[in-house]
Amino acid sequence: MAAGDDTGLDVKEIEIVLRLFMAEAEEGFGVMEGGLLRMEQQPDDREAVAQVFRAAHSLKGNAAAFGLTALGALAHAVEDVLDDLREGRIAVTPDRITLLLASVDVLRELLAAGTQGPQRLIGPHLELQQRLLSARARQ
Amino acid sequence: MSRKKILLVDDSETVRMMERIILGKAAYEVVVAADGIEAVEQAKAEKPDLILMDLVMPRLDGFGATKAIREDPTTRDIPIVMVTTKSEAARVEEAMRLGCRDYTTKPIHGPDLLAKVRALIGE
Repeated sequence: MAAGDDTGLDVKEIEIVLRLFMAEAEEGFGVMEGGLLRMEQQPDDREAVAQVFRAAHSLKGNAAAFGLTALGALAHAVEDVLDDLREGRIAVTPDRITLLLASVDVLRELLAAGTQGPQRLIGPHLELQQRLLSARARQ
Repeated sequence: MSRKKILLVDDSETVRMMERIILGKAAYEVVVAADGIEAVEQAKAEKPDLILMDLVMPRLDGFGATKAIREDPTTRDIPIVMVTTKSEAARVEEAMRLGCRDYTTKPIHGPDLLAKVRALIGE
């Protein structure tokens, strides 16, 4: 895995930041799963939604810095659903929680694959992105 | 001559480290804050020459922190650069209205970041 060409960091520095990113991303997945389970039990838990949103937002930004475009694209789709939930444009439902939890599993897979993984969303990952998009269309 | 001091505000340790390395290599002194509340406290305590402010953070977001820093006479003149993701570009206008001097987008581009910092506070 390598950082984007524009960070201004050398190889050793990239390694340091990359290790931090991997640890932070893993922590973020835990935050997302914990928050989603809280939302499932308490759909009006605003802080839980905000916490999950922030974790997806950070993941999206950091994935882009490391050139992990597929990971960044899926994190972006997850973030958009969470933004709609956060702003009350759509409701917290069991279907949406299930979809978001499934998305966290795929985000984890894409992170583990690193640059060996797809550079754009294809096949089932693309389908998942479409499902996330559809989840925003219904109240 | 003492080094210019920059306050890095971001809830992501990865981003803070990336900015710290880029600015440290350019001989700036760096202090950090992990959310908006810490940013306001650090701005008062450290009196940095410049603040790089993330937008989405726990406890108090970048807008709230910018407003609080602008309202305090002891920190109001510290230049603030908002650091946003590309998808937040629409919110840049609000950042400027609140008194941010400039903005930059993530992923962090080292040369661009340094150019903006140097334009505001010099070497």
